[in-house]
Amino acid sequence: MKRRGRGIACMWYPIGFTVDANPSAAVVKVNEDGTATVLTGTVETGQGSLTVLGQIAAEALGIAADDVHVVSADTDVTPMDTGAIASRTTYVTGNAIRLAAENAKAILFETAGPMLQVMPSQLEARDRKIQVKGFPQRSVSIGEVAKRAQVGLGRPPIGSASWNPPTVAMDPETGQGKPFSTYVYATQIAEVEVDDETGEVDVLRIVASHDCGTPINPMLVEGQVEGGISMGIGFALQEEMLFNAQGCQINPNLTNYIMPTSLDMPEIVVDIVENYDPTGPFGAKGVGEPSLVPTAAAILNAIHDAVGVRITSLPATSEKILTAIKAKRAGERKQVPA
Amino acid sequence: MKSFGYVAAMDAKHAIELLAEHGAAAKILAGGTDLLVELKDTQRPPGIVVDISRARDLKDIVLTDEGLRIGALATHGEIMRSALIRDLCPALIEAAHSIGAVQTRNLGTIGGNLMTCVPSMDSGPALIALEAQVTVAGADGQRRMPLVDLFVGPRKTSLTPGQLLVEIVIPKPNLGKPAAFQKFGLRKGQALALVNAAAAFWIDDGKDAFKAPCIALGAVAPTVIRAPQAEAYLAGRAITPEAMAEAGRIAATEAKPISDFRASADYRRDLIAVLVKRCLAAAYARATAKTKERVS
Repeated sequence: MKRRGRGIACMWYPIGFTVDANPSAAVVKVNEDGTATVLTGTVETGQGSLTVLGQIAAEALGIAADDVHVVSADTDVTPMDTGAIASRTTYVTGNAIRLAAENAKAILFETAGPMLQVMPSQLEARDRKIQVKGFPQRSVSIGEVAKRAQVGLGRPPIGSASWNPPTVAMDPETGQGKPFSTYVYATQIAEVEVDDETGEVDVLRIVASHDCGTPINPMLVEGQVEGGISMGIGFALQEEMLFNAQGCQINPNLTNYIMPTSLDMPEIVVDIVENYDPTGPFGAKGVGEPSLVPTAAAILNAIHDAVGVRITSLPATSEKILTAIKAKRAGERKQVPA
Repeated sequence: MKSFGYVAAMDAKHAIELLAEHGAAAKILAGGTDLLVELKDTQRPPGIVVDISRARDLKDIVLTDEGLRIGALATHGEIMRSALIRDLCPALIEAAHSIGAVQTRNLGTIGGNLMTCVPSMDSGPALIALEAQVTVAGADGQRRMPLVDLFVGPRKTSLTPGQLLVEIVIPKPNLGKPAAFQKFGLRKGQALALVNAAAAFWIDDGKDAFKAPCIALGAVAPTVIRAPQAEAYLAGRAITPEAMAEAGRIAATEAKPISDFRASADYRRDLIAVLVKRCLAAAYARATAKTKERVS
């Protein structure tokens, strides 16, 4: 018989470690046609980070995301980056790109001030224009300003910057400190169906509620959360490296190292809890790794709700669950007086 | 990949000639879903690969006086889409649907699945539950034998060099016999069977009893096997959920599952009992649904 259950799990996760140097650097160059080029050392691994980083540069410069060309991960050309690790790219690399764009924008403002006969501090960059705050009709296109900066002022609008979350050394006596710059929070709820004759778990639905600061690209946040949940399902139910006595892996292939397929994926509802972190670029934090942290716990709680057994080692394979169900039934039979 | 020779057969007759010519040096290529993977890694490549995939006369699914003939080169996808199979032995569609992924089902053939002869093959149990026969051809002519006699051991069939599996035949008396296939794997997509099973039986009119029950089990012995004791228990017995469950328990004692890193033998036996019970229930549901259809 198939039995349904629901489970809840919550988590927090640190973003931007501070125990050691953790820098990213960037160069932002505004071109004479009003577009911009970003140089960053970070690596796109399919999560869409270059899209988000381009959006950050575009937002800082008042241009469209389409106007930004991102050059990444070429160590001959791009600045060094600590890495696409620890869910730090949007937060740390994003901050470096925002600062580099601000530096390039400062040159644009200094150039446009005399053109619009105002102080640079009275300007803002919006809709591909440098305009006077409160008087958007007094404006000049960013391409125009970039050209003037280059050929008139002799100061090409290029900004570079680096950002490092403030390093806080650990107290050698107490071991205390401030290990991370900021934190994100999430809750996931899993609904499962457990076959009480085979122990098989069918994950039917996962509702995932995540804080990531400002979601710069909500659809990519959803993608990250859905991808994390697929890994969380593998972690909960399937994935296990098995070794023989000699220490050789006995399942070094995808036939026997079981990972979820598209058919194993449940319906997923992603709920983004928007808020603002003053230390992140435009309030953003991160979401990469956090998305898989609560999944396994939610699924195991749901299994407990469905069939009343508590699995305490991962993965919760169907065999483990059936063994636990049988042990529970045997225990119940003993308790009934003859 | 090590080098090997290659010839392509134009039709079944040509394939048999080529196999006779090359004997033990030949390895047959049909869909290639097993052989190509093997060729990439093997240290001992075959002397020559005889590609029969162009032999269109080995592909037909047709109804004859003998029964339903499925050409050895029919792909799992073609089986899933065959109206004849859907009407006459839908359990084969359940089995075909559970094999590999869409790409494997589009290329892989039923003959190849049987001839590779791994214990966990998904084509075997439903065919054996329907008492399928196979036609084997060689230079000295054709012969017909029960499919169970094709299986000798893991990756070992009774065919000798020079012989070709031509077709699978579901005997006419078994067409329309209520049957079902079930598989348990470690995930939903692209899973190897930890256990698979099929059951078929007629309903003795008037008595609502099992008639000519047939149960086949996969992945729990060196080859796909029948469960004769469970079959004997069911024959003539009234159709009840209790009888189905008991047949499952008996079938579990007839298998010889192994313990390995995927699962223990005990767990595999538990699965056999459940899958056999569910196959019997599904076949019965299929039969009663058909009767209702006819009445309305």
